Amino acid sequence: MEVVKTESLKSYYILDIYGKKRVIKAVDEVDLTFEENQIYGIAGESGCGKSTLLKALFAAIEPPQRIVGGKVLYYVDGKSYDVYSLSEEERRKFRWNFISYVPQGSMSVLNPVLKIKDSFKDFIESHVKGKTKKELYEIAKQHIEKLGLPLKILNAYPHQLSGGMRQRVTIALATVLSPKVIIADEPTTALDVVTQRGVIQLLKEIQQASKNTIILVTHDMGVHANISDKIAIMYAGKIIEEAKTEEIFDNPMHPYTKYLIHSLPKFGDKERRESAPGSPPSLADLPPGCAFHPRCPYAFDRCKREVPVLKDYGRAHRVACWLVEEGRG
Amino acid sequence: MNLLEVRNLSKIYHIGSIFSRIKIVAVDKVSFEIKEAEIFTLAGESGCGKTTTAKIILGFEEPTSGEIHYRGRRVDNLNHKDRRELLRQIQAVFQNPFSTFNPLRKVDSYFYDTIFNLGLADTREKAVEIIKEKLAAVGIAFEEFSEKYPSEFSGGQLQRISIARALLSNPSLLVADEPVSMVDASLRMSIVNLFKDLKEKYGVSVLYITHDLTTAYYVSDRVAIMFRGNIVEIGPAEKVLTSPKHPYTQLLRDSVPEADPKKRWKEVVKLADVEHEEYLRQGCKFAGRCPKVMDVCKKEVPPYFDVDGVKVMCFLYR
Repeated sequence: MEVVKTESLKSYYILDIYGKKRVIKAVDEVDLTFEENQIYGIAGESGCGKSTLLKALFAAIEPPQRIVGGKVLYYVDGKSYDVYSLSEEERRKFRWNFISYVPQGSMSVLNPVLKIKDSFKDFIESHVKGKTKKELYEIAKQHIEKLGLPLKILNAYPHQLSGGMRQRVTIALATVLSPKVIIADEPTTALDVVTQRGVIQLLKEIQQASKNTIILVTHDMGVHANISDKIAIMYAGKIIEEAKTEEIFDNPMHPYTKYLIHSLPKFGDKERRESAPGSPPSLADLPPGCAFHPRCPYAFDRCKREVPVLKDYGRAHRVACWLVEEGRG
Repeated sequence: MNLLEVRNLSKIYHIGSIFSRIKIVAVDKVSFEIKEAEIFTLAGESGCGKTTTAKIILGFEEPTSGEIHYRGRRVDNLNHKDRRELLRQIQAVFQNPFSTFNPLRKVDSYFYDTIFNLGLADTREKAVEIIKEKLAAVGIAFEEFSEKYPSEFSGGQLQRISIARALLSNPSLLVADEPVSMVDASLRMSIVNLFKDLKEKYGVSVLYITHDLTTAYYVSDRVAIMFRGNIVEIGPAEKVLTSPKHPYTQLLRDSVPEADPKKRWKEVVKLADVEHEEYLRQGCKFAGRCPKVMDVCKKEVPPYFDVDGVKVMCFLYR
């Protein structure tokens, strides 16, 4: 069962610099379906448009970001809603109740002058009406207990907690209204490895307990290997490959994905590993054809002219690459 | 002879007001040595003291106690002139290449400044020659580099350029503090490979400071694992990272998410709720989270024990 779906979604940043118009195609023709009860990973390097995609999914876009084309569909209680045709008031109802968001920097989310329990109180109060202060604290307490976090954090201020604990509090806050979909934008990036493991564990436990959907964005392929059920690889605003986690690690098809996976160093193997040549393109000035072709050692004529389409080549493995299409890969 | 020797280095910071002062031992009696043409890694989580150690070696911080020797000569108490001389030999590469360079200054001006400040050349022509040679070592063409601002480069290119700048004075040691953590995933290995090449081709030693154990394993000859100011385990990278001895190293090594969906984590980890409590702990600082903790760990600071060529600071190997 799908819960969120995008149909040829296009989200651009339209800038006007001294009368000169610049268009940054951060999300271009993205078709993705997010199923129920699954951890869906989106991988890509900085500046590939993954955070823009998340904002579009969460229906929280602000100028200069615009939705230029396509749809985002939410499936709530058997009905589908085209999010961008709803009014702002209707969209607000879905936010946090149906779909919630765990941002990257946990310090900027929590109010530094409020105790954690008051942050919880304010947050729940703004979505659930007609509860007393005591009842609100009780909801917060039960939720923290359910997630296995120490209760003493409720009486602490954000700066008194370690980075990992703060990030887990942010996750607790985003899940307190039991949303069906949780979007997590690089939730572990600034954390140490041991702490990262704790945060990932928490996400996994929440997902297993409530059978909802987590859309996890990170550039760290190790994290994806550990937690994601399905992975999409994003490059220059487009999804270039999508498959089940094991399939993508065993059998990457796009040259970019191959570099990404094969360049990861592993313990017990000191063999020389090479990065992809060149640098990622600027989204404001994309090369014609396949955006990866200037860096791709296997590029041929067609790659320079035509944009490859994302196509299923069996085993639910979708790739956008002319090499695969023409059987040269 | 060792290139660099660090002996019993300590750094103590005091935080809080006069009424509630907390003493934080950021670096606690750390000793290690770096050999000629060797990549030595200091690995650990944030707050373990690895950056403070690097800052002391570079002379940005005064040590509270301890000594640093460079080629057999003590260098932690040098005067201004001698320190400048030393900086030709020891150069730094920082974490974020975008903050290494002023965004309003052309990148090449840093190169000319470094050359003239350190007196490496007296004419512009000679300077250009040196720059060309160093850029070639990091794989950047002089033409695509000159007269450009930092924003015109990608993070990976800029990090290579900052390494080239560090190489200008023909240093024998590069101190690289988290040099790849801000670089795009698809370009990360090109920087790590560069350190390997510099070591093999030019005999440059590298003090590589990182939290990323997989690149540490890939690139380094020897590695030291730091925890709350102490080196808890030190030895050849192959041994320390493939069969870790100290319970903390084991936890760290286990927590690295490996890029293999078949090796997912099974068991649950315990995290420290409040970090500074661990700095203040008596005995072994890991005792509060250690799965194999004994009574003695909570009272006494463990000494180093030699196990199979690796030095481990843990009573389990008594």
